[in-house]
Amino acid sequence: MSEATVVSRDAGERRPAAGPPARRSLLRRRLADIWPSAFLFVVAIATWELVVEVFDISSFTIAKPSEIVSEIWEMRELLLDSTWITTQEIIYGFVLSAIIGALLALAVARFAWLDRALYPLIVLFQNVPKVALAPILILWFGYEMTPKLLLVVAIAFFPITVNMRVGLAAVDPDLHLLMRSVGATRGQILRRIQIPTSLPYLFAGLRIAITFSVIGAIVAEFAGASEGLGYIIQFGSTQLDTPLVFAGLTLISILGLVLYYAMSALEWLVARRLSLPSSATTT
Amino acid sequence: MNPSGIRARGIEMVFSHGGIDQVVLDGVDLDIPAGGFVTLLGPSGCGKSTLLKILGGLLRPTAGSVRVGELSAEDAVKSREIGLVFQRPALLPWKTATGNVALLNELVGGRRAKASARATAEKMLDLVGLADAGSKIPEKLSGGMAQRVSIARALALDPTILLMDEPFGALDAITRDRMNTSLLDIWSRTGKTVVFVTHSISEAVFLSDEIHLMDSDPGRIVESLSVELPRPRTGDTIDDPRFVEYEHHLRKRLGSGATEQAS
Repeated sequence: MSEATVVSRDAGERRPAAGPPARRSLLRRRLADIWPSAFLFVVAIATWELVVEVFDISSFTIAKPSEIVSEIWEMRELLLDSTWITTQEIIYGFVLSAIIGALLALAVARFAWLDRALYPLIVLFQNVPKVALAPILILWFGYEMTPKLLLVVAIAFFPITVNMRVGLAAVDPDLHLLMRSVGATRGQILRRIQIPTSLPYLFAGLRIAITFSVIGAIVAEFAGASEGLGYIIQFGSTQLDTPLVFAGLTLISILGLVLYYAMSALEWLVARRLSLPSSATTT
Repeated sequence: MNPSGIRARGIEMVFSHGGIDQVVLDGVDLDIPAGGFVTLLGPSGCGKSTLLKILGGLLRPTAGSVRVGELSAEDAVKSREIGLVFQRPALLPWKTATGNVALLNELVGGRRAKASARATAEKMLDLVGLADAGSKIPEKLSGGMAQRVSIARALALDPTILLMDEPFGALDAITRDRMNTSLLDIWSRTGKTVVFVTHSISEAVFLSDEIHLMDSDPGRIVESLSVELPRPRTGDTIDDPRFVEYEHHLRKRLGSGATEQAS
């Protein structure tokens, strides 16, 4: 064939043939990734302990890590109960956010007029500072679980809806055409193509939403509660019981971390089960 | 099913962007014989992909009529006479090759059709030379293999017409040559009517019974050419002096090959 006729777009084989690295070496690489930050963490804690000790800073101002640990141990029953309460608020609120957020995304993806009508309002609502809603929700629903769940949903549904909406629209136009060429209905296209395509996007949204849920629950407890970690922190600060405040803070941080990684693990499992491309940033 | 021919008369297509009308196709008449291999050849932007969609009833022209066999183009779509292959494979990444090929049959036949859809899918994969790759997901397939899967998918519903929109445009030259030979083999075994869009002159000559040369502004057919090279066509075909002649003629018509380079 002459030169001019062999012109072809250079894209060629788009996917490199090399498979993923073996699982064990991946684990080893993960560990290698973790140790610098683990090292830094230990150094920071030790410095903290040392600085407070050496400069003899009052424990009203700042609690030493060792104090926090012993405080957690001494108050373990109260703190365990509080953690359990807050965990429930976060998880129920998160699940509710996921359901509402995903349904909203599906609704606006299915009906263009609904997208035009509803989506600007959703974005508008996102601009209302949710923290400011907390007192009103307390006023309406009292100190019970309900206002906490509502606040969590108000904060956490948004990233879910936004991400999934993008995912539902990310379907290859050729696939749309192909489905239409055999007379597939909108519902069939949604179920068989759009929803699976949107899952990695949905999970990216869920991972943001789980951290937002923690914030929502704590803020709601600040605004009015008689139990939970947020309540403990506030109670501790009014009593000038700084170690208790730090104990609460520590537990919330750990809780947030655990929930985040649980979410990532769930995503990994689902992605592997459905052989979906996982959404890049699983740290 | 016997293959259908396509008969298009006075096809006009005008797209409006913000009040400005752009004439994409202007007065196209076209007869595609049943069971033939017909190519629309032209530079980018000459409306060949648009024409392909119109011929397949996937796009309604501004004016003109299309008949597929005895049916209108819309009815041909409804009775699933149209199979589609695109430039990119457009496979579902979470389904195996078999799952991808079975997709349309499952969709059309519902849950009860699942077993037969998979059986058909395996037969089609065998036809395109991928009998062993059925359980692989698209990520594990090379570009050429993925495109074979998409051809198998197009054939799975046993359409009478296969519309192919630059199906090998994204492949490297070597894979592309192999795919061309393979496609002719599949075509001769299934007896489908194939309408093939490309901007590669040699590909068009190698594959086609008939080439419709198109030009842009407005998009139209400027020449129709019967390619009278013997079949089956093989690697030797390209050394046939007539092959070179056809190529030369088309390149001259397209403006010394410059149009092909530019696209």
